[in-house]
This record gives sequence, structure tokens and C-alpha cells, in this order.
Amino acid sequence: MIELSLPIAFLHSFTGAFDFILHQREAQTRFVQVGGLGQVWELTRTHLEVSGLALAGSLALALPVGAALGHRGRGEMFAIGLGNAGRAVPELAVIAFLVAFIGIGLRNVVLALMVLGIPPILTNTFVAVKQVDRDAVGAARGIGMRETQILTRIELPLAVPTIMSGVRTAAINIVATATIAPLAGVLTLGDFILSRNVYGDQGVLAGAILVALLALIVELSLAGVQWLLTPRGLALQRERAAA
Amino acid sequence: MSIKTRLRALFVLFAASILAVGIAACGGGGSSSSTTSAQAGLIQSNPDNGKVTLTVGSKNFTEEYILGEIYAQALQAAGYNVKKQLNLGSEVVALKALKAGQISGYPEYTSTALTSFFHAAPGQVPADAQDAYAQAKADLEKEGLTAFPPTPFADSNAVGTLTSTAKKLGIVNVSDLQGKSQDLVLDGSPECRQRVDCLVGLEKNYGLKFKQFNPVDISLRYEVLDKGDADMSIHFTSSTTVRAACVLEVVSVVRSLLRIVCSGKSTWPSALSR
Repeated sequence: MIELSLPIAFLHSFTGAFDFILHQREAQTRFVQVGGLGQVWELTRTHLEVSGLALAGSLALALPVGAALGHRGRGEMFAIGLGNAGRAVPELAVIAFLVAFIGIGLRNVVLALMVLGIPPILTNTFVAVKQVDRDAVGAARGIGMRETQILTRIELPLAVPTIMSGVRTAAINIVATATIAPLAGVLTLGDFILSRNVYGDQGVLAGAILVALLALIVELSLAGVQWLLTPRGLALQRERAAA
Repeated sequence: MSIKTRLRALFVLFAASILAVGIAACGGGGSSSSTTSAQAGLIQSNPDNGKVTLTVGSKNFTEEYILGEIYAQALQAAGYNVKKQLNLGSEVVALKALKAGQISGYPEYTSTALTSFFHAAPGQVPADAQDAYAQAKADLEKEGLTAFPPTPFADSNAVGTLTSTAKKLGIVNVSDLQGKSQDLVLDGSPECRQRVDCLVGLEKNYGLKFKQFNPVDISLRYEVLDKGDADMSIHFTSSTTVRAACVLEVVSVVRSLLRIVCSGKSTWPSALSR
């Protein structure tokens, strides 16, 4: 009985969730219309806005610091320690903390999400730049490149795959965690998940599906960016190694 | 402020029509006689109760934690073997746990039971506390659940603001916000936007239109008010997080839904006010 009814109930919930995404309906709490593509689009837009700003902010901070430290081969404790510590901080606590100090709204949520985005980018950039083939760096120095040139033309391009894997981790973390933004004044797709009383079980599942889809799309787009940024030589070298 | 006075203040604040749903194992007659011994004001322990194990649940906010704890400790004092499953989430989750037998009972609000479980429109919720309780009890009975006598205190949603803001705007009642609300920012839980006992009710029943609504975590509502990110906040009339600076005129959001105050006998206050 249970073995049969469980998958059927599961399937039923899924069709219900897709129906929620596509068609407006009356809220569980009545009197207002919820769900449907209109609301989904509205919440998706803010979800992307918050996530995009948080990722951009994380990149702007973590990339230069990670690259500079990696280039000098110093600050390992800082880059990796901060990276690990940052991942252990519960986001809900960060949001509650920031509400007390900065207040609610977009800025606060973006800052909280940056706490999540900075660590993987910082750690990966540091490690990637530090581990670039020393012969290549030596050769660059030999032909008279300045230190900034070595960093931007040799080390960073060669470090692209590892840096981008950090960026992808950061992006997925941010998109998934932006679901708690409605608790701090920004309505994202998390609203469907948090307000079960209003949207019902189908709304909760719809929210989960939408966030997962969004995370997948962001991941695939960043994989595309990585492919574009990876130097041809490096890609060829990798193909050869794989063959 | 000593702990004792603080505790007393806390229970004075409580005014919730809350009923414990479905602790079936307590049985009918036994509980009233064994637990309210008026002279001593103490719950008497009955050794026979030790054979019964009860799991007390609660929803996921401060008031419910306290209520769940009160019920748990009272049942324990009566000699029952008590387990706790507090912090279950919304009433939908709590009801599921109750029906699945994972908890024996939990404190629920009469009007929440009627509107959320049985989809009563706010107008259909009886204004009289006893009538509302009777209706909830009858509805729950059909589901195989028992509603125990309600507490003599009630809780409802209200609009609150800083005393200074209330003075500046010259408001005492929610209706005073008419003509002023378009310049004011309101905060409340995310779901408040779509609830008739919250923002929807303020708009429909009072004709208010706020400049902005800020969704926030329930526990952060006063922080937001303090920071000046909102002028008004939805809060619970029983709220224990209201600090002196925040307290002010508290008025029900939706008359029909929120005026309910149950005055039934309660088993607990005699033991608590000691």
C-alpha cells in the first residue's frame, strides 16, 4: 500500500507544483490570487538581482585579494582559513546580525550573501594563482614582463579553470541561499517556500523546483563563461592529458 | 527586574484563546479532578499516569515554545511520562504530526484551527469565544481529534509602532491610520502580505494603503522598527519581545477574526501564578 501510494502522491505533488507555477490560484489563506507566471517572474527577477549583486560583490572583493596573495605566495593561512571559516557561518545568523546593524533590504541581503560568496572565490583564486607552473612564470619574467603583466597575462589565464570552479560554487551557494531573503525585506523565490500557509504544499514544492532550476541555469551559464575564458593552449593541453 | 516579576509580567501579557488539541490519552474526567486542586494551587501527581507516555508538540515561535513547555511541565507534574517535540513549524506541520501520532497534542488557536484547517472565512468565525471554541471542537471531533478546554487568555495580530511615532502621528486606533498610511512603511512576516488577518485585512476592512510593506522574520520585527526601517509593525498582542520603547496602542487588525477571547476554564494558571 505505502510502496504504491507514495510514488503516486509524489507525482501528484509535482503536477500540482507545475500547475502552481503556470496558473494563478486563490491563496490557502483566501482572498488573494497567488502563483502563476506573473508572480513567478516577479520573484525570479528579484532572486536573480540579489544573487547577481552578491556574486559581483564577492568577485570584486575576493578576486583581487586572492590573486595578489597567490602571486606573492603569501597569506595562505588567511586565504584558506578565511575560506573555511566563511563556509561555516550560518546565513540566517548573518542576516539577523546585519538587520541589527544595517537594517533590512537589498543591501543587507547582498552583504549577507557575500559572506557566502567570498570564501570559495578567495580560496580558489589563491590556490589557482599560486600553483601556476613556475617555469611559465620564470619564462615570462625572463622576457622582461612586469609583475602585473605576469599576473594578468600568465597567471590569471592559466588559473581560469580553478578560479571558475570557485565562482561556480559561490554562485550556486548564493542562488540557493537567496531563498531566505524574504526574512529580511527582499521577496525572492524563497517566499514560496517560507510562506507555506499562503501557498500550500504545492507552492513550497514549486519554489524548491524553481530555485533548483535557477541554480542549474546559473551553473550552466558559468560553465559557458569558463569555456570562453579558458586559454586555447590550456584547453588543448587538458584534452591531450585526457586522451 | 527579578526573574519572578518578569515571569509574572509575561503571564499577564498572555491573552490567547489557545486550546490544546488532541491529548487523547488524558481522557475526559480524570484530568480535571487530578490537576486542579484549588486549595493548594498545585498539580497533584497521580502514580497511575506514569504508565502513559505523552509527546507534547508546539509550533515554531516564542509563544508556542512557552505554551508547549507549560503543558509539558504541567503534565509531568501530574505524573505523566512526557516527551517534547517543540518547534514543529506551522500549524499544517503540527497537524500532520498529530494525525500521524508523532505527537499527542499541541497548543492551537481557535480561530487558526477554524480558518486554516477548516477554511472558515473570517466572517464565519464566531465573534463569541465560547461559540468559536465549540465550533472548532466539533470540527476537530470529525477528524478524530479532541479539543481541550481553552485558556482564559487570547492572542491576536495587532499593529504596533514606537510610542514616539504614535504621538507624532496622533494615532490611537488602527482606523486613525486612514489618510496617513500612504506615507508609512509597515513590516510583518512574509506571509502577512496575503493574509486577511494581516495586510489584506488592513487594506480591505480599513481601506488602508501603506507606502511599502517590508517582509521580515517574525523575530526581527521589533529590530526593524527600532532601526527605523519601518514605521509600523505587525505584532502579536501577547508578544514577549515587545520592549518598553515599542509598546503602544494595540488594536486588532481584523475585528471579526481577532476579537475572539476564550474565557473557558483553564487547568494551568493556578499552578503558574503561584
